[in-house]
Amino acid sequence: MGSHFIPTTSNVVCYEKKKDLCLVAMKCGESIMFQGNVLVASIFGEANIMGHRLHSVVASEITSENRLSIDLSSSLTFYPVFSPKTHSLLEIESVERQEMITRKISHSGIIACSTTTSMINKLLSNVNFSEERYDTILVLRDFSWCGIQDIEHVTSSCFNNIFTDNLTNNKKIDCNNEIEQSKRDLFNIKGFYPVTIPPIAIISGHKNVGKSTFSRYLVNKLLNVCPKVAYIESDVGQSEFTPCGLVSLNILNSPIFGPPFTHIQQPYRSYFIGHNSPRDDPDYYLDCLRELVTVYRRDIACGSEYGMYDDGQVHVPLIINTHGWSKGMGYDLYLHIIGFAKPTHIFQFYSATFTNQNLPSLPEYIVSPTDQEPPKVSFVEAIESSERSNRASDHRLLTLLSYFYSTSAMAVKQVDTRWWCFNLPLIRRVPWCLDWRKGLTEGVFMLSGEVPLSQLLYALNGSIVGLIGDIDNPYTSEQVDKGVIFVKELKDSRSRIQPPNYFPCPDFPPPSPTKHNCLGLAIIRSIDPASHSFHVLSPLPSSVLFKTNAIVKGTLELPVWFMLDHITNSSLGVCGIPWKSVPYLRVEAGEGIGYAAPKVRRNIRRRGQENQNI
Amino acid sequence: MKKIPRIVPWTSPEEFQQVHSWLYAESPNLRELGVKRVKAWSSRGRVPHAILSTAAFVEASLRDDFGYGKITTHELRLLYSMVFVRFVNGIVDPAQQGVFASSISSIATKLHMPLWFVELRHAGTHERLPSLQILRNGCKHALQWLNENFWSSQMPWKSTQVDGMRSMVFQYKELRKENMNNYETNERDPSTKVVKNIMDLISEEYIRELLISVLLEPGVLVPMAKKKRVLARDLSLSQESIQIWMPMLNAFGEKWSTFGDELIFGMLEVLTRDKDDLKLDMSIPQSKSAHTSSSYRMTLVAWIKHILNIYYIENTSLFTSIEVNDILEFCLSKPNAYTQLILEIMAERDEELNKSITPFLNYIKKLLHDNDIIQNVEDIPKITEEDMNAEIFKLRHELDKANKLMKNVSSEEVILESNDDTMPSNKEIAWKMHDLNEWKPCALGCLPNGQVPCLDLPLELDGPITVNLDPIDDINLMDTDN
Repeated sequence: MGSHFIPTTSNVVCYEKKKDLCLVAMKCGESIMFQGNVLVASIFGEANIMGHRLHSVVASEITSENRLSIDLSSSLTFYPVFSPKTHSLLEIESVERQEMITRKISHSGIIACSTTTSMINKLLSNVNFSEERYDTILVLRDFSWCGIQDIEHVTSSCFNNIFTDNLTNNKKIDCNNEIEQSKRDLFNIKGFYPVTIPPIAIISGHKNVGKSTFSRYLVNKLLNVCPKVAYIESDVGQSEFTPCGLVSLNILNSPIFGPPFTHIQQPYRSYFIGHNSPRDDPDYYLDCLRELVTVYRRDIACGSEYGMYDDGQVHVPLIINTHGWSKGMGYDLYLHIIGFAKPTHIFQFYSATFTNQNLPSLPEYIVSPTDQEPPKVSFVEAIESSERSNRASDHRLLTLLSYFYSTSAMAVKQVDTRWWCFNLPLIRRVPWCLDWRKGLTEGVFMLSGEVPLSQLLYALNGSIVGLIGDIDNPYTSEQVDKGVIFVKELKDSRSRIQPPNYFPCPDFPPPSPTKHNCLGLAIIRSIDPASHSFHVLSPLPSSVLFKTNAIVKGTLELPVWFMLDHITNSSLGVCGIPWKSVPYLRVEAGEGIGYAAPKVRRNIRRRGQENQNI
Repeated sequence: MKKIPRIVPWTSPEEFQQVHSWLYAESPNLRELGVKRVKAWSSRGRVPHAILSTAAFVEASLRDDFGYGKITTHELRLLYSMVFVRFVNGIVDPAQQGVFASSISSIATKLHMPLWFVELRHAGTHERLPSLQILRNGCKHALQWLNENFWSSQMPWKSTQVDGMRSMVFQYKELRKENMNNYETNERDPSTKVVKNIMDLISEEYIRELLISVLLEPGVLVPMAKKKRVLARDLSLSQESIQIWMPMLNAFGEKWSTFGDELIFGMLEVLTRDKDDLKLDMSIPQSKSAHTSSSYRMTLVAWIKHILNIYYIENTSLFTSIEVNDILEFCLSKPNAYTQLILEIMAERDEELNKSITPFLNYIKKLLHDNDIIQNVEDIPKITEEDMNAEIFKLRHELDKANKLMKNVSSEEVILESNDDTMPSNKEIAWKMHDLNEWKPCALGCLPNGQVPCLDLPLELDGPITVNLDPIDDINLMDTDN
């Protein structure tokens, strides 16, 4: 989990003249995680890199002045180590010496020339490593001459900063920030960027035990000591910062006082799951969450703007709130999330009263993993609330209302301007017209059911959809000329309407989380097939809306309150249209057997279960 | 409290009926179309279980009919069995009202569901998979059962029900008249019994369609004989009418809090209906002309006045829940001679209202008056061709001016946008704010003209037809445009 090594002037010594070599002295258990590429050799003790034990084959001795020096006649071997952001960053860990392993094997590497070894000895003579009883002493050398980092420049944007950290690029601009730079500069090796990953906490437990409330307190507490906190919401039914149906990564820089619907904010990254539960496509759900964790590690934990190594102050810790689906597949999903999130802390709720709601004890591979430090597991007592007044569906409704009625003033926290504008009902608002031939270069994704293309507009009219855009460069839609007209144009005179590209599930996978993210939600308030346009309502600013290149329809239902005019509130109908002609609404009660839409009821008991708790 | 409407997946009752007829059509192409539409509904949610089951049975049977060679008997048995299990559970589960589970067969008996459906479900879940023969037969019967128990009861009302209601209302009228003539009898008025029967027969949801439509027929609240009807000068009902009908209306008003509103709005709708509308509205085939005669309409105005008097003056609990503001809104939005009268009646009773609506009333008066003048052909001045050309020239000039202004405005907008961000041009075209001049608030799902456009995309898009080799042209796609 990041570097466990604090560089100081006594354990890191670099060669000031050429700035291409340094000595690092570590104690057993300390480790350096880094980005970039470097040459590594051990001159004393052993270090573990990706499972291999790097040991010193040079004879080293302690000289009369209590200084360490190496034998110039034996060959010192350097190994090239590459650690780009495209993969998990590598760690160099100091480990105990294992005498049992035969020392005879020597692998091919880069043999140091005599100038290098003499330079090392010169450095060694200047410092006193032996006093501190270090277990491992390594030599790091500049490896940027190999040229691999220039691979970043071949493509326009995809692989920016996979080797070079962007803090380096900002260096010229950011010269005031000396403290931030100082610790990194101790190493003084081009192309080598050590990294620390701040704590990652996971909060888990059955639904309605107080997970979200606990997370909120945790965020606020952490904000006492950190300037920013990252938050991944994996409860799609009751998200903290977004409407339901999304998983997202949010960066918080101010404490949150209030329930979720009062602090909706645009996420750093989010994905559209499209349901209130991950049940229908758990694999996609996990893919999205995995990507969020990766994004956190890459951009936030070790990203430039959110603080790299350096000061402990700049670390951005991560909180992951999990869904309350603690049984069956839900528990399985939870274990998967722990698996890729690799938390440092796990807060697990338990109840002494409703023991059947408690999560099973965590499996051994999580509690004491072999390849990393074990997470700290803390148990939190559940809130025993008998009242069930606040139902999840009410929370969802509040959040949806808050989302769609929010104004641009909320995002920037503008003073004395409405953050919410409930005095103009949505159905009265002037919508955006989205020409699907021009705007939806990707197309329409359908996450549920098998709606035939001929019926697509019947499914989309008056429904909530997710707006999707490309992640990297939002304005590249021109160059990415993949306007593969999926549907051939029809010659039939009746069908002048050119349908949108259509990707129904499960024949087509949902938008890939590495390429596309969710920009936000929108309501297709009406459709004008003649002009190929969706009439769209969304609180997003136009700069975000214009990035849309696909829309996704899940099973999120539009609450009835979005279809009514709560200001005029006429009992005659909506906007002058009498009730019987208002689409999708019905005033009379339905009758007849089988009228009820399917609804799950889980509290029916069998005879003989009288004495059991549900 | 106002009723909160419920969400349904269909755009209109017509679409609902259309899908019903598709699912039960002879042509397999139409049946497949019905299945497809139900799939679109499913993605919206809130589809009644009976519809999902019907579509599932139809889909399974289409597979059975046209999948020969592509699907094995065992696969078909699995398919049909699952549909059966879900069908029976879906019907029975909502009827599990208690804390403890009742047996499925006992609930099925209550719901008049053949018990062998339940047996098929049981066999499909726990026992030997039912044979294809019995499943096919079951599918046929289940579709029939669903049609009788679900689909046909979804018709808003049946004409026979209206007929029954009409005869009861007339029975009431006769009994009431008789009773009014026999002052001596101390016996209980037998007409109250009829009122009670009517109230037992219908639920509040249907009073508009079943009851009020009958009450508004000539010969009921409005007497058949024109000389018994109300005069425009006077606008007061005859004592006879009040004595006959008020006991019944009072009873209804007591039982249903929405009755007063429903009655008044039923009347208002008739009063504001155009002659053209009448031709379209097939729900009242009889006595079209009667509804447009002025004596008939005047009598309705008198009834509204009578009810409003009760609301404003009399200190009874009757008709207290009338939504006066809604009446006001309705009348103001549809000004004609009758709504004008009603506005005047309301203004008379409510001083504050009088102040606020007097300007509107004056305007409406003027508007209606002007209309009369224009209808008078002789008053229209003669127009020569020269005048017309001059007019055209003038209009063209104005249009040019307007276009120029428009261009200026839009170029400014473009500049603003490009300052905002450097957008590729096609994105700008893809997203446009709806033209403000053409925008009108409208119900969700409708275009500004208040209509749901035809949402059909060509059926050919769905790929090769799987059910039949018949040409697809026989499918008459629903056109909701008109």
